[in-house]
Amino acid sequence: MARPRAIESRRAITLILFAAFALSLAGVDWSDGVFRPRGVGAIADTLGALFRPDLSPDLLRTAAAAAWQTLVYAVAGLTVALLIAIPLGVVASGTIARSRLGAVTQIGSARAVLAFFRAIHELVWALLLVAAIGLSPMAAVLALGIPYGGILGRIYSELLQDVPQAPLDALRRSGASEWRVFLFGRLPMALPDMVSYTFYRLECGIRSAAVLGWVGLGGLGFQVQIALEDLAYSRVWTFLWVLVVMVVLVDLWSSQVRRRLAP
Amino acid sequence: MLRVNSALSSSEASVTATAVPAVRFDGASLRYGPTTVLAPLEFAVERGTRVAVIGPSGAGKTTLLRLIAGAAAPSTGSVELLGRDVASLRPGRELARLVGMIAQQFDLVPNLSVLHNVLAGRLGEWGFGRSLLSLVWPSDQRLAFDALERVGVTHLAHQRAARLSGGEQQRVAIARVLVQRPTVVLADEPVASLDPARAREVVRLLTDVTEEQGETLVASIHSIDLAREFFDRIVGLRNGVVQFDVPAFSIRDRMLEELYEIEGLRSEV
Repeated sequence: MARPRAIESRRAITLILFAAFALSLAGVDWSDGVFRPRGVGAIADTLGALFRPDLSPDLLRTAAAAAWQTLVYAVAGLTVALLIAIPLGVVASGTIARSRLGAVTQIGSARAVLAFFRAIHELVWALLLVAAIGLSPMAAVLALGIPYGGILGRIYSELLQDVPQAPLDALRRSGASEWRVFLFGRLPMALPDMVSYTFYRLECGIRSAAVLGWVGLGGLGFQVQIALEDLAYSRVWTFLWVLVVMVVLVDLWSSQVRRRLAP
Repeated sequence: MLRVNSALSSSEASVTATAVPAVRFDGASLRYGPTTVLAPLEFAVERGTRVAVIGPSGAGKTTLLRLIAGAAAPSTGSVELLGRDVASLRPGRELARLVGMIAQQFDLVPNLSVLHNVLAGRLGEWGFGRSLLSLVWPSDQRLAFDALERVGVTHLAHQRAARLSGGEQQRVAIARVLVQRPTVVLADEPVASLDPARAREVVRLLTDVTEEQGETLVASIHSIDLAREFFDRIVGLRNGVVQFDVPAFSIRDRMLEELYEIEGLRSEV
């Protein structure tokens, strides 16, 4: 019996990929070792410090200040992201358009802008903005806010489109225009998912804000960078643990809010 | 074919000649390609009456309601609400003042409170600013609470709609139509998902409140007992054709047997 073509070609592709992987192994120069000299030692040092973070009061004070700065960047960045994502996401959903043509135009143009915002990574935005604005908190906040606005706006537009239609039709039958259908139907139905995704993005924002330290914008990332240069792994882990704690706290907060929003 | 339109002709005689029917089908039909969903229909419903549409699945009951609601356009003929062609009415406020609808279920916005769901019936009347404000500080609360009281679920006003049972949800849907105050209320299988006891209560409520408000009710319904007990008139629909249209008290078992007969089994009956 003949197998469907799709399955045949999928097997062929799997085979080719395995072959490519096997061939690529031959390309590695094994004689010299995979790690650089003392590289294994560095890994051992790094992991060894994992459970021996430096907990001296001075360093903890530094860590707390850096964490606060990172949190402020993340929250302010997400605020900017919301200012971009809410209006553009609503327009990109095409749900408030009065005509089909209007909907197509709105979806197309708003999506293009959102795609431009998120196609460029926050670190690249940071480099561009530091060049333009200088090493100021404004650069950090915008560097986070612009790409995150692009991501959130895209997700919002999809969540607003994918709500159950029956309640919306009922609202239309009671005489509501599309804007009112949006306010009393779409938005309430999409809101729990929108909030939940926004919290997830806040979590990501804290990680991203930390990394912004590498371009000189301060915060936890900056401290990690200094500690790494000093090869002080236990200090590195102090800052990384603080980052982990912050992310876990945001996660707890978000599940609290989600429970309250659940229908 | 049984005495088609007998109820209509007898009742028309008692009404003054100037009375405009709430709903009138003037040769309205609906076809999708070669399939006739509803054959050309002459049919009128006087204001303030309650009409039950019964018939086997796929008979065209929902189509009949959709034509009245303006949700579908007739392939031939026209449908009038209070003498105005439905096709000429603008969707939105104008249509909402004439016709309101209660569906089988899944009709409420699950994450909004019952109060907000009821107030949604006012959306056709409110401007944008008032609608926006009402999400936080609901307008016309008096009206909504009156409606909730009449359907007996005032205590649920601040619950989310998703937390309600099926029967409670239908009560809220009725309250929403009450604040909308259309001339004609349509109900498409309003109790299909409820158990018999609750179904009876909801149908009783639906017919009572529409009667109190002087509204006209057209409902498709599966239960013949409920149709007999609570409605003035019963229309039997089969394969898109009206088989009978009689006062509820004069319906006979023979008519129902013919209406629900399964094709191919005819000879055995």
